[in-house]
Amino acid sequence: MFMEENMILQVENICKHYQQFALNNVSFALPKGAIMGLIGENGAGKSTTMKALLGMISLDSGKISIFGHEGITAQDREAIGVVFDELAFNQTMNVSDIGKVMKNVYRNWEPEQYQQYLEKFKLPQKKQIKDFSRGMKMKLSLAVAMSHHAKLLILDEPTSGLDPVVRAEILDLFLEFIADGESSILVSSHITSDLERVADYITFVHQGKVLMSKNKDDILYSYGIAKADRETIHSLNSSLVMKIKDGKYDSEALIRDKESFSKQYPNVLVDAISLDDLMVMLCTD
Amino acid sequence: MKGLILNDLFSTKKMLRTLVFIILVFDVVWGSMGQPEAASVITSVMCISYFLNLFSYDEFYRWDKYAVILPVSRRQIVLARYAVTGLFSLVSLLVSAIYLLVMRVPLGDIAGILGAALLVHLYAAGIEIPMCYKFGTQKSRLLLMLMMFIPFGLFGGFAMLFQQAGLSLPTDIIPFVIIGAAVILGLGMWLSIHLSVRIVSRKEY
Repeated sequence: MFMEENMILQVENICKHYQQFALNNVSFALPKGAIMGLIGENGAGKSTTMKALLGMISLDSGKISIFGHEGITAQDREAIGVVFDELAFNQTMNVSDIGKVMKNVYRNWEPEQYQQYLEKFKLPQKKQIKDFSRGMKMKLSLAVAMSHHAKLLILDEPTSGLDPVVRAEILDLFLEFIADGESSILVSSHITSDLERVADYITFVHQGKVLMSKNKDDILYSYGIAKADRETIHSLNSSLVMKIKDGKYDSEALIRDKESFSKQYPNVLVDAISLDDLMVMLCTD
Repeated sequence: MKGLILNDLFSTKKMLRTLVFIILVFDVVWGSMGQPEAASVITSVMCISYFLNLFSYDEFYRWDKYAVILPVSRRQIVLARYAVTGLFSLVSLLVSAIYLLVMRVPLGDIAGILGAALLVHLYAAGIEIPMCYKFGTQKSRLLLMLMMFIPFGLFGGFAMLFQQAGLSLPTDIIPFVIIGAAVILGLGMWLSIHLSVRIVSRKEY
């Protein structure tokens, strides 16, 4: 299914059933040196997918390969940096305490690198974490995740609740991280504009299923939204239309191939699409 | 595992200062009332119940969820928690011993108090740690009270019955009772660790 040697992470048909929710045959592959954005509405299955990747939950079926082999070992964990939406350390600790803890957790821990990140992020050494802003806590999480020679970062909502300046700094850091061509990032986010800026691939999860997992530029360049009156929209060639949404006065159709569509329907206006538009079109009835 | 132990110690360092202060107050107050043994028992109970705070922190900050993604096995996560609890126990026994020596309590009494405290520590930690992993801290606190009540209630009940019947425990079997209790608690601790590892290994986060 995938070119295995180029992939840092491969997820094949994973299933996990809960009483109220299920992951159904989730599949995607993340190449080396790339950033993949995991998008979807709340409860779509993004976090559950990440938990499955990290071995936090057992799978009912399916296969996950990280660093070219199936399953996740303690050695793999040495090379995976994880950021959850909340900092997991006791907040009476300071960054220096955390450094001492992590030095004894990761064999490849780099105190100098950690120190560099702390200085870069202007995080005070002796201040208790509880006095940090949300942006500072997120920067600290990233500093920890990136100070042990990680090859894969798995980040769950790392930019939520942060102001645009901090987000921009963090996104630049992501780009620096993958610059060696060997390291990759899987990041879930509701702030799709961030992903439009840095992601190479987008995997869209909806109700526990992968609706699409594609190159971001392919999505943004080939998909579009056709807008016209209801009659025109409903008469369009169904092979080009992914979804139709009827408004009060007119209708919109999600088009999968803008170029072919424009050739076939030169008189129908097609707007460029954003990831937000795509989500709204595909997630609403 | 050292990192996990350090994390527990750093997590509690601020609370430990408060604990030390409270213990000092108790020691001074009970000592001045001529009951240093009581202060020592309180020190011991406070220290051993302290590991419950570690579980509370785990749940509150979601450290338990984070720990499983670190390059440590789930077995190491559990063993680290037992090690820290053991450390608290050891420190509390040491503090009690020093305090009782300073207060000039007879050596035989000190040995008895510390032996009893150690048995209580083993019993409380052995029962409570797997329960915390299984049911969470809140439920486990209540269960701990119940579990502490059962053996001491039974022991007290039997003692009272013996007294009412005019019987007394032959003194020559007391060492065997203590050794028996220690063996049972040692085996119980092994079972407790085994059970905790099993619970955590199967747990989904």
